[in-house]
Amino acid sequence: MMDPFEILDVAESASNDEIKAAFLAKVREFPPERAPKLFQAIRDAYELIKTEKLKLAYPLFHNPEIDGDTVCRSLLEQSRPGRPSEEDFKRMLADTIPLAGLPDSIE
Amino acid sequence: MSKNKNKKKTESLSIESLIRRANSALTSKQYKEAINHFKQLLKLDPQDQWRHSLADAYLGRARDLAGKGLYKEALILLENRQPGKTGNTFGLHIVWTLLSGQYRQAIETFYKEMGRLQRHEIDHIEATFALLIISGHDEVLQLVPEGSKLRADSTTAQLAVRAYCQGNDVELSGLLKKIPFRSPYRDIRSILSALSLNPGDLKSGREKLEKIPHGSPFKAPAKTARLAILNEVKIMALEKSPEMARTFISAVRGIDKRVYRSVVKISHSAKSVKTLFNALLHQSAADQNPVFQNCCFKLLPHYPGGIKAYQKHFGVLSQFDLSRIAALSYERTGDQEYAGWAWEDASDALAKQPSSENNRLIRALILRRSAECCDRYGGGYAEDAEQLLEQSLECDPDDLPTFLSLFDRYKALDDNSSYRNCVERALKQFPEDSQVLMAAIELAIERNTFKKAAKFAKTLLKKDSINNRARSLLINAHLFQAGKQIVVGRFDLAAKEIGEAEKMERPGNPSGAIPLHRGILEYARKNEVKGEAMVEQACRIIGSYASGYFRVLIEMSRLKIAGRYRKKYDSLLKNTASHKPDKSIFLGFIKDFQRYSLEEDVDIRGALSTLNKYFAAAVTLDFSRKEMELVCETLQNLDAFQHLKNFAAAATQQWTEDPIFVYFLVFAKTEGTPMKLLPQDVSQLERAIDMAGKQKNMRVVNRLIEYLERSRLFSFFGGGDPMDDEINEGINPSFDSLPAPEFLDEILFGEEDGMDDEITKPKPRTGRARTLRDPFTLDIFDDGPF
Repeated sequence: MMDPFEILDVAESASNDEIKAAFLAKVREFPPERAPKLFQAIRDAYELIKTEKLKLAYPLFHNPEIDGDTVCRSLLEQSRPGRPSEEDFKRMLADTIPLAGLPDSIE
Repeated sequence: MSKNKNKKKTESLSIESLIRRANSALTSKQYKEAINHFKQLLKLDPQDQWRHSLADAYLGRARDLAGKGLYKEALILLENRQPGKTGNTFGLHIVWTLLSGQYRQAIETFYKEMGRLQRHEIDHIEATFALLIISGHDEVLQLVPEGSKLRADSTTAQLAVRAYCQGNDVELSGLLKKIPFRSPYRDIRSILSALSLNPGDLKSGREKLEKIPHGSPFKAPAKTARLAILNEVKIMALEKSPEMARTFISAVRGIDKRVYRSVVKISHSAKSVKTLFNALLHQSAADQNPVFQNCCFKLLPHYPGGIKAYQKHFGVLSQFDLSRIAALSYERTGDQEYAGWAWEDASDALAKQPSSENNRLIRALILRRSAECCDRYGGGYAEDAEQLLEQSLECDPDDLPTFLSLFDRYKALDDNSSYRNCVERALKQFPEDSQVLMAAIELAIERNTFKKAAKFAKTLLKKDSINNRARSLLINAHLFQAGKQIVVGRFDLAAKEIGEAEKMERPGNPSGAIPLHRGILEYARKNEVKGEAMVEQACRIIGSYASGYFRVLIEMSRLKIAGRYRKKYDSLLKNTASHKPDKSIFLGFIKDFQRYSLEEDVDIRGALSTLNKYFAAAVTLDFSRKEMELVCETLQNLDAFQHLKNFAAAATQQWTEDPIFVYFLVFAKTEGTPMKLLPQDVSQLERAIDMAGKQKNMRVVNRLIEYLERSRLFSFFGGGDPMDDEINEGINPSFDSLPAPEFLDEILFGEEDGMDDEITKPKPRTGRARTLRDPFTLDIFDDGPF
């Protein structure tokens, strides 16, 4: 399971009210009828950190399995989305041109 | 040389074998081989069908080459291919001509011979032109005739690409709207639209990209775009992507080259925790990114061998951190005993730090965790867990679950003074909690402080008016008090208490207990007629004369009512219970026996002897497993060995080798005296222990072991039941004061294979011993007043 603070998109120092507000906002964004799995994950995350004690207990006792993917994810989380240069965009398109010659629909 | 060999081999084959091989090669897309076989076949037997198949093989081979980007070579094969019945390859010829760089020839042929092409072929070829134009092949645009769709939308599409790259989303949105649905540029519209969505809106992005049809020339860029908008970048997929795609994705996701390099290195070295840890340490030397230190720290409970290297690299860890890492590490390996001790060390380390609210809360949490470890290690409630939980309440008294856990523990321990103290503290902390109030009511009743009990019950019933347990406890308390007044001859006070009990009954839901006690009161007053009438009324409400008479009989014996009345009800009970046993009535008796078996001054054995025949006949009734266990449990409490033997034997027949029934059977056979265990009983119990162990039923395992151990201790002490306090007091070996043998020290604290030397093994606290305790307690007051 992902970090509950990440799921609810709150800082570890967030107050109970902030956590509750974030939980309600997420639930409104992903209601159970539209995104049942995500809704469940949001609820589980809230249950893990909804009180002061739980919030303290989580980092204290949580001992997650860490693998390369986890580390990579943490590293990649630091990145900020951007836009490629026009030149890079065109080069990416040009790079795919050789793959365009095998249309199944054409005999 | 191998070619010649193959040729020679083929030449020597019969026509049938050649046909088989050729068709097989064609269907398995071994086109090169298929071409050879069909050529050979045509030499031996020139038929049209071989010619067509050869043409198919050539086309397949040409597609293979085109798939590798060898369009010129593919075109040669396509042009030299024998005409077969495989349809028109004109469209393909134009696409490959275009992709081989012969733009002028391809465009001229396309516009001149458009009539020979089908609609979907025209769309595909135009989309390929569009891809070339947007990717910067201006020469293609110049060759396209004026007024064509390709020219009309090219500027808009190119401006849209620019607007996206410059982050000008408002302009982009306007431009994308200008690209019509039937335009050859419609697929780049979908790609740009998906890319410009909010990061993380994967679903909408994916939907937009899925609109691009499978055969579209824009499918490959769409795949790259999909990777770029994925919530999580799949490093392996990214690594496998062509360089241009990777550059593009990195730009969209904002991954700088240093991070990308780190990610690739780490994903390659993450084969084990150790290699991952070392790779992270190595990376952190080159890059001060805090992620590396953070991940290394989180890895330490999984790889405590890295503690030394971690401290060398990132600085010394605090005693608290070291103990916490050790505890988590022991928890991972399932060593709950050491984990518990390590958590206690962590708590001690924290206690030495400056006190703060958070600090105290964390200590409380840690002490509770340590208590959990003790319980897990003990397979139930462990004795020293109480001490830890009490300490945790000193740090954080506002924790109801801890109080409730302590209630159960002290009850199981029969530690009345600690229980009382704990309930009183809980009541101060949670004066309106229903569970705490319930415990307070029980305690007050136990101490005969009925006014207090009534006060708590009223508070509870105000909050929870349908709390039957509280209601029945209070009613029973008043009735018990009434009984005491009857015994001392204060009949008016007894009537008053019964009246108080009646007030507590739920309107319209009488239990029968009130008329029953009024009847007994009348008998005590020698008003036989009134008494009989009240008892009859009680029986009607209870719904069973047998059950009613039974209760009257027991109550009369307790309240010392004249013997002749008792005899009367004894004979009435005998007559009523002489019929064929009924399961619900029988189970009613069992529950009554359970209730009364805890009370003193009750002639329970007398009542049982009255019901002897009824009980003997009841063994044939059809009980569920749970009901049968309850019956056996009650009979065991009553020391009714013969009945227990009958019921346990019936149970072991129905639930073969069920450990708890084996225990009851052996218990009954040996009449609850372990010294009477025969070798076959011992082996039967040992088998039952194995079985219960496999079922992970620790309660039964403990029970069986205790019985067996008592027999062994008996032999050791040379007679007398070792559970007998007098014997224990006489021996008083003060085991705690004996020095631990060296070998025990070695077992507890010595080096073990595979254990990391980075963790200093935690030590047990003085005087602590992990003992098992059975948490199972029968809750017998749930069924309302009696």
